Amino acid sequence: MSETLSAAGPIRVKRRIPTRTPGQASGAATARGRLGSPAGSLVWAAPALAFVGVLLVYPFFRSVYGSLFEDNGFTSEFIGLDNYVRLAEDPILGRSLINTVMWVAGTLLLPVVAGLLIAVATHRMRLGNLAQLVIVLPYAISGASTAVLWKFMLTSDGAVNQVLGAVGLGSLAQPWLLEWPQNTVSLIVAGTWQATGINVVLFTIGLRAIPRDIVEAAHLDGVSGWSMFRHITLPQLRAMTVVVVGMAIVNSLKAFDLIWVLTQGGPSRSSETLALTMYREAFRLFHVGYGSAVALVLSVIVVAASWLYLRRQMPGARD
Amino acid sequence: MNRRGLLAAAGAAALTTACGTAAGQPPGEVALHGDNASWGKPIAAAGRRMKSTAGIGLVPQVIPSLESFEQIVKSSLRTSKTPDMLKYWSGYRLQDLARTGGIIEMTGHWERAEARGWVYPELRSAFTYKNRVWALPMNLAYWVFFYNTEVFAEHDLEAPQTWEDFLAACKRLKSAGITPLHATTDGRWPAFIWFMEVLVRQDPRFYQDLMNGRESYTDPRAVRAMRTIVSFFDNDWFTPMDMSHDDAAAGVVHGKVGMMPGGTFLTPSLQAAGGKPGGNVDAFVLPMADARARPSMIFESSALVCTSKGPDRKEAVKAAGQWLHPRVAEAFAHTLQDGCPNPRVEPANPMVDGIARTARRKRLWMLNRFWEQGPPELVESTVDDLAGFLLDPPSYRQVLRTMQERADEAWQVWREAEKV
Amino acid sequence: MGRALRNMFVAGCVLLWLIPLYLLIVNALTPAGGYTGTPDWAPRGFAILDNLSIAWSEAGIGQSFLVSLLYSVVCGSVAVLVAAMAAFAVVVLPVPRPAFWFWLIYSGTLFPLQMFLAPLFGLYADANLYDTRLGLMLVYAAWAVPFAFFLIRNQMTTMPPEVTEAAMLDGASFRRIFWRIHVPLMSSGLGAAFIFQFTAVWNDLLLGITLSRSPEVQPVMAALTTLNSAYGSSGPPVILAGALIVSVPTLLVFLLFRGLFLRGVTAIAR
Repeated sequence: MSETLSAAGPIRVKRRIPTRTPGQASGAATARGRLGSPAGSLVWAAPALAFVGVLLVYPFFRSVYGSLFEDNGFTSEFIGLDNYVRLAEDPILGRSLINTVMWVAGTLLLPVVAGLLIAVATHRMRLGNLAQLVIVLPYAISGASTAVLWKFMLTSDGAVNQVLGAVGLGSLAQPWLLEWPQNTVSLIVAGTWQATGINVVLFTIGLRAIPRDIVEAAHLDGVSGWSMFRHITLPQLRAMTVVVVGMAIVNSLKAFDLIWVLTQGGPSRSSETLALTMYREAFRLFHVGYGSAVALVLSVIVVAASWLYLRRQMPGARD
Repeated sequence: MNRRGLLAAAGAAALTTACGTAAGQPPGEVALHGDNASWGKPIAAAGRRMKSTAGIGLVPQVIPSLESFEQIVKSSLRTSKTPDMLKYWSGYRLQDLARTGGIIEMTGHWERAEARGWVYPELRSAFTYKNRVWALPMNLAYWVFFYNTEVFAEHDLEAPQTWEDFLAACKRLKSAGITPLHATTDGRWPAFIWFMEVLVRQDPRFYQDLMNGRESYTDPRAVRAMRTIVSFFDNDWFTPMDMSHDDAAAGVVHGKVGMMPGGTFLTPSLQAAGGKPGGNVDAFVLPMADARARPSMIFESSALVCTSKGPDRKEAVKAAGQWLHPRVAEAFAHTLQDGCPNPRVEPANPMVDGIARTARRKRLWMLNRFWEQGPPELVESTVDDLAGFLLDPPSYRQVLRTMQERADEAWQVWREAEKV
Repeated sequence: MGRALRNMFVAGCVLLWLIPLYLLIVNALTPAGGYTGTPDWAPRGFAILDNLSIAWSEAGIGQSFLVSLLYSVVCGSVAVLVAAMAAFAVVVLPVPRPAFWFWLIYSGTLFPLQMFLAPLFGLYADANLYDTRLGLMLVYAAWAVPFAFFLIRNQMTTMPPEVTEAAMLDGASFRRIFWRIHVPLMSSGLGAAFIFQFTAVWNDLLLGITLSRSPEVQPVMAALTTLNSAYGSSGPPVILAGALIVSVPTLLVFLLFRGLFLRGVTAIAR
């Protein structure tokens, strides 16, 4: 991995954090004596590799290969990169890309920031646990059920507009799901409602783990409020942030159920993300190859985003 | 020990619960696959009758998602894992399937049924490709306008007999504070409903030609239909465009929405909201706007298809031969509570009875629905264009131009594929 | 002043989060025939039992419920075990290029699910796994491995290497080290990973509707979608009641195992 990384460009400054793998540290001699030849130890990873390899990685590459074909479900013809050329010319690609970026940014930002703020606010607060419990409840509800519920909230005659009308803000009422960009934003808000709770729990655990003496020492130095948050709390939460963001990336993919049930990417394709575009092409129009091309573009975006993030944040995931 | 125990438990659980695959049914039973869970009971009921008339039972199997259903049907036709019988769409979607060569011709079955008077002959073209019949009609849904009889009586209204009656009813309801008409883009496909209904009332011949690629979306007659819909918007007659059929049905039952266009397959939505078909809710066929045009109505009918590679295909073909038998068709239609393609079957309920009578009395020209007309790929994108129009009515000219561009391309592809 | 602001912020958030939940319950109470097409803010009746029983029996949620429990428990456990072994290999054992194996396994969670559907369908049709419980269990287990692996590996890197080294000097085999040292030390982390993956499998819709069709194989989320279809709409109150039913197991798991979960996540993200 390290060779390929260095080959990719010299910009990266290596920040080597010493992690030890005991199997290597204890010397090859003892390790090789038993199970532990390098190849032999792969046996331990074999079940995972088999599961992931056969049921996830192989179908993925099968899809990539399929994207070089014009395939309508019956006949299939090799067309090289034509699907990608078509994709670049497809007028929906722009809207779809913007929506996808809004989703990735939105699901990384809103639930993570809201989770952090709520965790900090409820930390060591009376009834704070109860408040957290309320906020975490939606996490247990499936995407499909959340969508059913939020449809109630967001339609023109729905609960949000009813509330706005009741408190005299009727002029702010609008068809939340019908027009771009507020339909994508509304969907992200619905996703935030569901996903924030787990982040609150995770950040709270992180907060509890901050050693008291650090906080007290900072207090003695007169640090408080914002600079306490900025210089003590945030850095101490770094490890937890890795997990939270790692999960947010996974969650931004799950957003499919929510969009599908609430708007099906509509109306008139205005809330479509790349995941929806792919699904529509492959499963509704039977442009299987074209759909695979869209999926590959999406995968590249997601993998690149998480890799850029994780390789900086996770000691040991590189090298 | 710990790990062994866990692995053994997991392995045992996997083995004991993994049932066999659906590789054919035992003799005397055929599986019929559909995309709609609520067809399970009607299919089972028809199967029980069929068991007594022909000795073959039907086992309903449902894939509850429209998307994966089409995908599964299409990708399995090539294999011997394909279902023996399935419910599909009529019209061009059926033609699309017939072109693959993966389904069995049923012209013989059709002609025998027609000779016995077991099927409406005018439905034939919806199941025909290259002069051969490829499927049999399963149900017959009529496209009507649902309304609340109590609300209409309260405002001194009756089911409209003429286009002017219809407009007057809208005005009357509007002034009474009731939203006269339901229109929606919710669920994506319903965006075509108003274009289809208005066009058919103004010029059914043109609708049929346009749907079959013989006319253009930029034609003045298409523009006129769009303008009519725009005038409804100008009068503020429509519900918000995100109101689902479920909510609209509840609105009709509770007197908030005046009239809801839709297929009779929506009856259960009205019933779930407390409506009684033939009682407090009823339905009428939208009257013609052009009195000189041939009186018409939209229908929708699902196709019973037999696949040519299914493991039980002999029994499947035999079962299909019994499908339109009055006793079988009756069991199906009555459990489903909708119209029946066999004219000899008693209507399932007073509302369906009323519509079927109207259709016969006025000799209505039965036209297939927008969704089944034209290359599926074209329909899939024109419904999105029409949704764009419903959200921005003044854009109708641009929308029609876009639709025509798509039509040019899609028909060319379709006709090229025809030659092969 | 700061404290007041904080209390207001928390109260506001709680209110925002409660409103949809409140609407969910109030409208699931409405008798199906009483629903007027817009959300109710006050209970209109107490038909929740009727609504629940319609959802449970008519949509076949009852049957799928048990099947889904099986999937979630079995696949969650298998995935955690398999992921723990892989994490052990990548972190502790002398595997060449551990980062490569990490990314290979973790990549399973990065790709959009839709990417797998069409090839998986073909694979399953050929292998006679389509529409079988075994088939769904295999794919759920595979799908649950990468994220469980991500979590467990995170925790394993924080364990002091000295523990393993000492055991190795005592002549313990890797198998023994794994089962006697790592698994017990990480039990709460493994538990938390299981809870995550139990929830994920339980809530899956897409794989369920693509790879199965028989009622006795279908997971519960697929059954939930049948509550709303042409010829079969049961009305919003029943759909909401169905959404409530299918949320019960995940809610219970979170509430019952809250302590374990908190300890586990603490261990994972040290």
